[in-house]
Amino acid sequence: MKYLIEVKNVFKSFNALKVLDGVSLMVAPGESVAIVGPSGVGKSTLLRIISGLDNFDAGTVNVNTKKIAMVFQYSALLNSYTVGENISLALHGLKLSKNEIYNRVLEKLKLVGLEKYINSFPDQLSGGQKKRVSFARAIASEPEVILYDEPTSGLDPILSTLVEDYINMLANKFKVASLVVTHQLSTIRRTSQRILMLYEGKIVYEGTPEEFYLTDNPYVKQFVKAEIEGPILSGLLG
Amino acid sequence: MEALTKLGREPFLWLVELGESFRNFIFGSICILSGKFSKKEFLDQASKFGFDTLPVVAVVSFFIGLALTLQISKQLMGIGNTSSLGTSVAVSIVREIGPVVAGVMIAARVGGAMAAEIATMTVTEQVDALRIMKLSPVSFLIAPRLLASLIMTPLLTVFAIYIGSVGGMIIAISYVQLDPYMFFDSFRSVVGNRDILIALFKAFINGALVATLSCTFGLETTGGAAGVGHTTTKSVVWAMLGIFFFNFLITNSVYSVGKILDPTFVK
Repeated sequence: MKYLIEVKNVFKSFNALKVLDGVSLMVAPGESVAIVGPSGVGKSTLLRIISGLDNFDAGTVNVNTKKIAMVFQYSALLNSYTVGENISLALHGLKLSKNEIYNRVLEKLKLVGLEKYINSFPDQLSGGQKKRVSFARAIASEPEVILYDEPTSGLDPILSTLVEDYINMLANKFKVASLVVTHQLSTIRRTSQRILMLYEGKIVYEGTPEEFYLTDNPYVKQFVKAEIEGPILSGLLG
Repeated sequence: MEALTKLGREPFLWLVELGESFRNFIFGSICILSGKFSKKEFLDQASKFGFDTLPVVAVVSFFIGLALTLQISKQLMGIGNTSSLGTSVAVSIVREIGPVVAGVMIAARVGGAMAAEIATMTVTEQVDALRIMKLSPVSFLIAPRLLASLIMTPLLTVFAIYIGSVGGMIIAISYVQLDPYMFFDSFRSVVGNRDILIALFKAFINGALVATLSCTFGLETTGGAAGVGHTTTKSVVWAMLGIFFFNFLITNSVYSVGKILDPTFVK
């Protein structure tokens, strides 16, 4: 089977701090994978390495497609560009005419229900609207894989559900593979086919969402039940 | 041991950053020459340069022109030689004060804003978003700012020289009771095309320094809001140091080379 993302035995340290300690994972076309774990265990670092934004010390990372997009935690829209211009930036390499770009931008904005904001600037939008625009930007170039960095963090439960619906829509309607980094249980439950738990630089658990809630794995149990007692907090507190 | 290695590396970090700035200048120039840069960003930056800097350059140059001419006229009145006031003011303003004042004002006003803007874009992952969309920060952010700076800094320098000279003339007329024609005759007798070209060359170097250092430091920013503040201060300080250093270097080179090529040049 040809995987879209192949991460094999990747190591990454920041000075003395070991962040990734031999992490391996594969993502198949159209598959939705969630990477979970407490804050500060290297989830976002792993995502940045896969996206090519960060280097790694050892191991191999193969992304077998050039059609890759990312949805950032705080949307990362360019403030001096309108919503429409922000989305059209993702189309710059596709050699489309001005009309085609406009139509593509409008089509993607309609998908997230924000077509009337095409000429607005990001600072005129709410946090949830910005997040939806960042979805429209991510899908504008019609990618094969989208990386999500904490897509529902900081959003209220209703907006979180809306964002989770977008992730599912992209996976089901456009067959886009997704790799979601999160620590929100509802996002994990609603958007993933496979869950990997990262802790102290290693994958400590891998399974389906159903198995995730039934496993005896002490890290997963503590994480799901949000208990203070257990291996996670003692590890984080050193 | 690691702490010692870090301690040993820390004093030379500025060399790495200057090397990075030089690399960005070369790549930014290649983007400009090949036309691969954001035209919208260039127009935005060029207009920001004009609107943000013109008033402050005008006010500062005017007052420096006033104060400088007042100081020189005091000395010349003491030895009864006020007729050479225009010459002294011209040499100071065209060769040194104009390029340096415009450069420093641009570093403080535009360079600081440029560094803060790019640093904010870096810490809020906007630069990462550009990279993911295969948009190079050099062609998208650095090249348009560099081009705007290379065009606008010489224009603002000419403006600073003009306004500074007007300030000088006002003192010459009102305080020294000098005839304005006499002032400008002696002004023109010492300022040639070569002086203007040297001032423009200094301005060109200042423009390159401000844009390159501000953008490079902005792109290297880490540490959230505190990091943005640190980058802004650092870029202004380094740009000013660069302006003073290169101003001296160019002046010294011009005199050394000028003496060899044309002994009458050093007036």
